[in-house]
Amino acid sequence: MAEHDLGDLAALRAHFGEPKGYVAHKELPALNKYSRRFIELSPILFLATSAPDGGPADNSPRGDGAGFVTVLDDRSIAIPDRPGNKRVDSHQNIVANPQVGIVFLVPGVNEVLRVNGKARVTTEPALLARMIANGKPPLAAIVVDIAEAFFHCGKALIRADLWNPRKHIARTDFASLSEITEFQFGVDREKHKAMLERDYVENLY
Amino acid sequence: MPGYEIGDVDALRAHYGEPKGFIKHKQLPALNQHSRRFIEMSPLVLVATSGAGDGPADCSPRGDAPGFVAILDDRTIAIPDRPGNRRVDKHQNIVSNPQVGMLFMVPGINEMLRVNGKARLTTDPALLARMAANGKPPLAAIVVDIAEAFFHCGKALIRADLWNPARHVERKSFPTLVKISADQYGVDEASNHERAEREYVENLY
Repeated sequence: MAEHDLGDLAALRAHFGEPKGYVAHKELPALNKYSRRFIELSPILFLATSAPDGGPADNSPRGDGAGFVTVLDDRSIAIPDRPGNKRVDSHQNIVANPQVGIVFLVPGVNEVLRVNGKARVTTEPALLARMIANGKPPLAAIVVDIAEAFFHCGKALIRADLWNPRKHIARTDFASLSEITEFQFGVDREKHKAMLERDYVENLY
Repeated sequence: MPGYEIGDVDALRAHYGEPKGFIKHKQLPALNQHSRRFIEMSPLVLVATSGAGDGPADCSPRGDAPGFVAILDDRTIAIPDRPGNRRVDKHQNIVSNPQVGMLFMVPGINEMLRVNGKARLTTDPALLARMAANGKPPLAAIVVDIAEAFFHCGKALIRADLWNPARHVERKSFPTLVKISADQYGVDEASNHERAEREYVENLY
């Protein structure tokens, strides 16, 4: 370990100090009216999973119309699984190690909601039928049994000024995914563009 | 319902099929011109960590001005650690299990960059000095040795319509964190309001 590394909990506490007051115990064991409402307003979440035994971690976005995550009860939620790239990285982690960490965002709000728990992947038809979008049920659902839920303060998003439209990049200021794919993998840019445009219109649901 | 659960990798593959073409092997072992540029433009990264021995997963946002994450070389980046709530959840995971999964966002762009690797925490003064903001160096830095980097297609953010200002929630349509804390933890609303306002102005850096 390098000279300035913080390598254990004692070193962390010596460097950062202790959390103050209720913040040290802010996890709640279930959803309440505020966290339920936040989930209803949220069109995007980030799902952290991890392979078993200290294997690689994975973080992937899930997005849809606001309220796309179904609150089954105060201790369980279901995330619809819309068509992706079939790599199923998150799913492979979940079947081997169910621990998940989720962050919900609501555009225009700087605070975020964090929900941690254990997940499973299901194709239960009655559940999928509740989550139909554009006439199609999801391919599967990730059901999470909640261990803890809490709001996270807005400092990260305030510093990022994330929701300020004036700070948004014009899409043309950055290479298209097709240009990048050609550069990285030698896939023909035009062919990829045609495929991706179709995918972004026809294969969202 | 257990009969519908997808419980292992074979069942996942049978349900989802195989990924196609370059997607199967799209991870790159290092940054390139496109991923470097994306990181330079990004004001927000979501960091996934997990405890040792299949302990709880954690996903939390880090935000700052675009380019706040320092690229040390094509296989190493450093994330500044600005003042938080001192809970150091993520840090505790990192010192016991270094695997991290990161997702970079650029406002206005639907595609995202994913970077996975192993992290350590450092207080190396020379490194922290490079990342001073508002005249203050960060408290520490999370240095990540990159194992893989790849772009993630824009479907989740397209479905979420995340960057459309017309979809942003009016902040006052959701209770403030102070109101929520008063209800959830019995924290005095008036004194906490003052503290929270000060925190969001004076203690961002």
